[in-house]
Amino acid sequence: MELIRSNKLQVLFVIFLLFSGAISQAQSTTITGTVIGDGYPLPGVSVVIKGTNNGVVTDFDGNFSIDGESSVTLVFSYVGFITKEILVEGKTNLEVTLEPDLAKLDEVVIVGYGTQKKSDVTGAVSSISSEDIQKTANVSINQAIQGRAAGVTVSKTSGSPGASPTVRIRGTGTVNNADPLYVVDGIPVNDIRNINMADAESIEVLKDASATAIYGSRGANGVVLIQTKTGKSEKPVLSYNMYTGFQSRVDNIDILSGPQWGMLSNEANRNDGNEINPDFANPESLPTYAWEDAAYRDGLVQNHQLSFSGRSDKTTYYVSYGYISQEGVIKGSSYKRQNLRVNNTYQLTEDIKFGHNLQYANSSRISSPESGQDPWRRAAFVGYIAEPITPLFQEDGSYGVTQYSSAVNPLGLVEFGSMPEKRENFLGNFFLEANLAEGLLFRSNFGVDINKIEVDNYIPDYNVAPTYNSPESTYILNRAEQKSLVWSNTLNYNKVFNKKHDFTALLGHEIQEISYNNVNAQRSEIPGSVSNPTLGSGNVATASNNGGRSESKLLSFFGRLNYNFDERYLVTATYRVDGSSRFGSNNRWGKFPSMALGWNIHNEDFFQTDFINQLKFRAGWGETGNQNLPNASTFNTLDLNTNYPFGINEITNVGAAPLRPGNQDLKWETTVTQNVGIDMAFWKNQLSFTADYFIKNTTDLLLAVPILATSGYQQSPFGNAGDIENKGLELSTTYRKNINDFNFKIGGNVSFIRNKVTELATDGSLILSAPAQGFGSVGRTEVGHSLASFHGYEMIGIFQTQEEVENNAAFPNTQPGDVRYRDINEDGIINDDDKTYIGSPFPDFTYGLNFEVNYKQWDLSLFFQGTQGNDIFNASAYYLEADLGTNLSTKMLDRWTGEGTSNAVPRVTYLNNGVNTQQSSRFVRDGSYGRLKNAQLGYAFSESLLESLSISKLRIYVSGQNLLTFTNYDGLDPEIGVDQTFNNPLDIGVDRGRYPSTRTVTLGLDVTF
Amino acid sequence: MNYNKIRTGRIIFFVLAVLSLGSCSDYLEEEPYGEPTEENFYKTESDAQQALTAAYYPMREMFSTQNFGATTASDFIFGDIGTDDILKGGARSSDGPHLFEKQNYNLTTSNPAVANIWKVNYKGILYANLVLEKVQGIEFEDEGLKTRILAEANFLRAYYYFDLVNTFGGVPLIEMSLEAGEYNQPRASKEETYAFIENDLEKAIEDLPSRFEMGQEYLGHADKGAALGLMMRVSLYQNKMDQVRLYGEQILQLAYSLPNFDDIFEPAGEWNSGSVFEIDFSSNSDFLGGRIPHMLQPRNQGGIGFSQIKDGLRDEFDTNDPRFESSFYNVEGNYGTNWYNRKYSLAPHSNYQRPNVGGAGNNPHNIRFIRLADVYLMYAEAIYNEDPALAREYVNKVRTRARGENSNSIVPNLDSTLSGEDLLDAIYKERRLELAGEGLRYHDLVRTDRAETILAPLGFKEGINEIMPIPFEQVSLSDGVLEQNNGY
Repeated sequence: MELIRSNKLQVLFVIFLLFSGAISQAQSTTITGTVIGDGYPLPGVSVVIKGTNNGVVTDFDGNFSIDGESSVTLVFSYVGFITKEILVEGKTNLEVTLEPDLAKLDEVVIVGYGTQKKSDVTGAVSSISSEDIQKTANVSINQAIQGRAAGVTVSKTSGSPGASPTVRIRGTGTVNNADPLYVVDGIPVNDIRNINMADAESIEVLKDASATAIYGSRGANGVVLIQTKTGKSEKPVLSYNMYTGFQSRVDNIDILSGPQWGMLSNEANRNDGNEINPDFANPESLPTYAWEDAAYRDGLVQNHQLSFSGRSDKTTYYVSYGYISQEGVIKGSSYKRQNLRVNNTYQLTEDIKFGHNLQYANSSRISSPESGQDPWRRAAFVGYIAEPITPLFQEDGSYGVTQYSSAVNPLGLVEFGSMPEKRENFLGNFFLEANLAEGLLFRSNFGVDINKIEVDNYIPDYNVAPTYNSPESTYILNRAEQKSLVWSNTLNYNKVFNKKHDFTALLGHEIQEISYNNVNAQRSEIPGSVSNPTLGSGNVATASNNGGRSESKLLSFFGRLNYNFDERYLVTATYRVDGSSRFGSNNRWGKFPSMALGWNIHNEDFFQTDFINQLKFRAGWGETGNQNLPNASTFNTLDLNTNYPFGINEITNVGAAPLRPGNQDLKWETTVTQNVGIDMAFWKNQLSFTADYFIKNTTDLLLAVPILATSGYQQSPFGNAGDIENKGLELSTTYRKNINDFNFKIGGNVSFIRNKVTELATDGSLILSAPAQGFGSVGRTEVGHSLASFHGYEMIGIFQTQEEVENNAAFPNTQPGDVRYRDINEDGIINDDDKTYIGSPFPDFTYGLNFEVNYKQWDLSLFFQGTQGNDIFNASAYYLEADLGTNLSTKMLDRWTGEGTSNAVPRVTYLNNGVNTQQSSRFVRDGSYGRLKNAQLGYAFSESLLESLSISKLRIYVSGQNLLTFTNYDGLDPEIGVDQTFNNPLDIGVDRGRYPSTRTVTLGLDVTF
Repeated sequence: MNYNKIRTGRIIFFVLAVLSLGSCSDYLEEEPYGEPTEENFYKTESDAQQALTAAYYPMREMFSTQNFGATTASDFIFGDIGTDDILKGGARSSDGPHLFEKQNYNLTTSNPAVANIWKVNYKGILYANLVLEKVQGIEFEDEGLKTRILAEANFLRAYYYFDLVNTFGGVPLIEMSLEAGEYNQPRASKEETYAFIENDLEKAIEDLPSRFEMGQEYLGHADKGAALGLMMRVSLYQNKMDQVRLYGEQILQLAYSLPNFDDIFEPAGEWNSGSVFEIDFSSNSDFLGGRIPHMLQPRNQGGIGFSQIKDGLRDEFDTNDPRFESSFYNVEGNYGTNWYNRKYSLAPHSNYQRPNVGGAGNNPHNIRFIRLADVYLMYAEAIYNEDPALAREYVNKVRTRARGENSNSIVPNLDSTLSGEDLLDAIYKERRLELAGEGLRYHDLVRTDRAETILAPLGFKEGINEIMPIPFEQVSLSDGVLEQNNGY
């Protein structure tokens, strides 16, 4: 026992734990009893002898049995009930009744730079249960919070292992980086993927400005606060969780067989008045090769989490190790991550506490090629459009080369195009808390977040396709380091006057330094004799290298005042001043105030409605900012890569010229949010309901202002160029009920968000985004429309007869069977003036639905998530439904073949393909979907069974992700966010053939000692 | 009491600690890393030379490994596709939709090729303008160097505007680098644009030295010959034949001579004795290579297979014209005519080796932008009416060179009585043979009003397709200030 208290050799701790059962049995008296709650026996209640680590858990019938001296005090605790202490006083059979904890409302939530009682919160804050998300087989927190909170939209960008999804809190408020700020233990982090989900104790999403304004310049896109675990119980807890399973692709596209494809090719040639391809004279005899499956496989997923935690008088500790490994469904793609975390606190003196949360993580990711405007090098998609009649392998065993399409053999892409990347992360903070006086707490928090990224990619020489070959082997080496340092100091003062006036004041100061540097180098011609190539093994004459560096700083002062009158009237006011090195000295400082009011009506004397136990109104207003822009945007910098070779020997001469003009007058982007909300709870919290309505106005939008090419600048300058309005309604509700052994919980949330551009400056009155192969820029941002709306012609059907063609506006060369477009201005011709808005990538609403049920040993949870009313521009259909050189969707079998045969799918033609593939509503699809994201069925072994093994909890489960999808979308996968290969937040809802979602089935085990 | 004192002390300590952090405003000053700022640049001779080098960059970019789209937009590919000489090629009939549009004369305003031509050339204009504006104020030890740098910038600006006026007709004339708020400029007329180009070229002709006066390190820079040659082409495209003759006479004074035809497009032929202007490319790890050879190479030999040679062009050659072999080669097994352009080819079709660094697009082939044979033929065309004998003489110089060591029956001299329209046709034909696959056919047909006759069967529409649509994106951004060309 002394060994534990000293808390020094934690390894020995584990050993102790293994024997602890044996030790505790060596005591004299046995105390037994039953625990009742809500009128029924309560299973799973923790029963601990006060002041020791000895404890047991009640069984199914609420019974427990513990050995101890007859004078001890037993502590009974269970989630949702008030913890009770009972002095045994010689009794051996106890009946203990636990009272439900109505004040679950009074759990403490993390807010910026502090905590608050939930009942005192005046802003729009959503808490996400870390228990719920642990039930999903996600790798990172940002993916796991999908559908869990109203107003938080998460869309997958790629099914590739380790890919980051797009996360938007309350819509897209900026055309700049609109990702929320992630703060882990008070430290803003660069890459949330480094955080082990299993280490998350709580996740709070701060949505409105009255909650985020304390983060000032970084709060405009919302803030996700993550608090990692600490040791809690005096009884040391060792837990091990694991799951393992397989993932397979979600495949939504049916394509043509060789004979079908040959038949359509012949038909197209006949339509064009051309000879058919003699090789296709007998299309039935054409072979079919399964290109679409070539790159795919079933991938193995594994997750192991080990932690132990506990506390003593003066210290708490939490140590964890996590290992996650995913094989992607595309061959070669994978993600592995290891996390190590140590969270300890030390009570140095009565008034001073010191603590640290330290994490080391390393990950290695191999990503398959999936970038670029065109689909030819997108390994997940290209197999669907390679012509089916060409063999995957040539006779000599080398990769088959497509003869009709430009598709690169996906096996070759995977072999030579996959990119390995290793990341190492250290994230840690040290904090000191000092009670300076009664109610006055000083806290200093110093944190570092260091990310190292390494690419070591040896690519042998290869020749896979005309557009995909390299006569020499290459070694690519990239190194990058991101570092951020944060130091914040706060003084928190709490004082209650006359028992009713509760004041809390916070004063703080913070500095942040972010630096980045990278080196890229490359050499070719690595001799074949080198078995383990390095950069240096390449020919020095082929060497090239590059590198960069940047730095930015933020200096901030902030304060907050909370006033609570008699738990009835609540006021929160915050103020933050941020200075940023990214702006010129004229606009360096930004000021971000906020104010919010709350009214707990249920605490009023006049409120006597029994079945309503909570009724609270909230209203808030606040300003937040955004400074997301490149560090040197205010300067007129000159690029040093505009070179030219002069002289007989063509020696490289260095050129210097601007790529983008600087803008000295850049200033902060400001977002003003107004929010009203209501929280209600009925029948002792059986039913709870929250609603929020907000208006979020972003002004002085920081964006790369698109300028006319006559300026001569290749890149757009940054400017404060417009206003965006996001309005929305968020509803969430939970209903829970216990009936004997059966208890269940249903929860749901839905958010409606409208997004509109209300103003754009003259330079930049139009922003074009999302270029797609075969089309121009698909997205268009203009005043009066939502961001990045789809733009093009409106398809109104298929010309059925020659007469129709002649009597209506049509493109030159149009024939019956070709697409008919609307002549918007009715001038008798179809040209640019007839282009119009044809869709929006933003949904009418997004929703999440959670269902949990427990019956005796069994538990089942289901989680649905979806979006409704968003459009997808299916650029992949340019190939699948139009370009006859590629394979096609079976949809093309329903093409127009004569009057009345189709009004949706045009005839097949090579010559006139251009008429039918205009950027038009033909390619705009309903992107709505509902998906069973997660389903899990678990079984917990009974206590009586486990007791002899000294195990306090053992549960096994089977779990499935993406088991069911309901959608009309006909591309690979309706779940598409920002296409990250374009690095533009306005590249939304354009499907160029992504790495699809995966269906995962896993078996898992949770065990706690 | 003592305890309270300690507490008070602590408070004071922490408050001081906090306050000591703030209030230093220098803390937030950050200068950009890695690049000079405009304010610190354009001060020295070396700055001036670097600014000039940058002004050459966009010319290179149009054919470069860095800009795949621009390469397809160059005259070698986008320019000549749709003519009777060049088939689009590629993997299949619809490969390269923007090129397919050109071939079928179904050009749309969102064609990425026109967007690239517009953007790359205006970038060149900015960089040339920056030289013209900023170098003036720099003190030089060698004033001659300053004059030359400015004249080169004049040449470059003319070069860029010429590509624009050929493609689009009149375009906005940007004479100085623009400030924010000034970018939206209306189009000038075609005549104004040409006048601007001629003005720049006149300055260049006057101030530039000939490369024959300069050392070999000067190669790559525009010289007097380059300016004269470009001025001839600029004049020719306006049918200002007097001017073609005038500048032709000047360039003929310079020390050019015709090398063997076979040598011109070989590595040893870069900056040969008949090279008037070349755009330089090098294949090494500086990535200053060009992509044209990769674009033109057969697909089953690692290329993309664009711009294949049509039967009509091949049939135009006499069977024994040695230039046929030097200009084309045949590789079976791909979509298209299977005839390829040898002038920009790789081993084994030429002595240019495949790049061993920087990928397939990092080729060393210089673009032979103006050759002496072109100058001779332009000159002949300008004088065929007034001085048919001299015109024939210059055509015959080209034919004699083509003949090489062969007997006189091969590529024989023009009939010594040839004159008038027949002589003109012979000159046209000679251009088609000599300059086959060099990206000049479309402009030649358009400027001589033969496009309607020859290209209409392929879909060419007179009054529309002589020039290309202004990029949709630019028209939209200009909010109507940029007027679209007729018929688009």
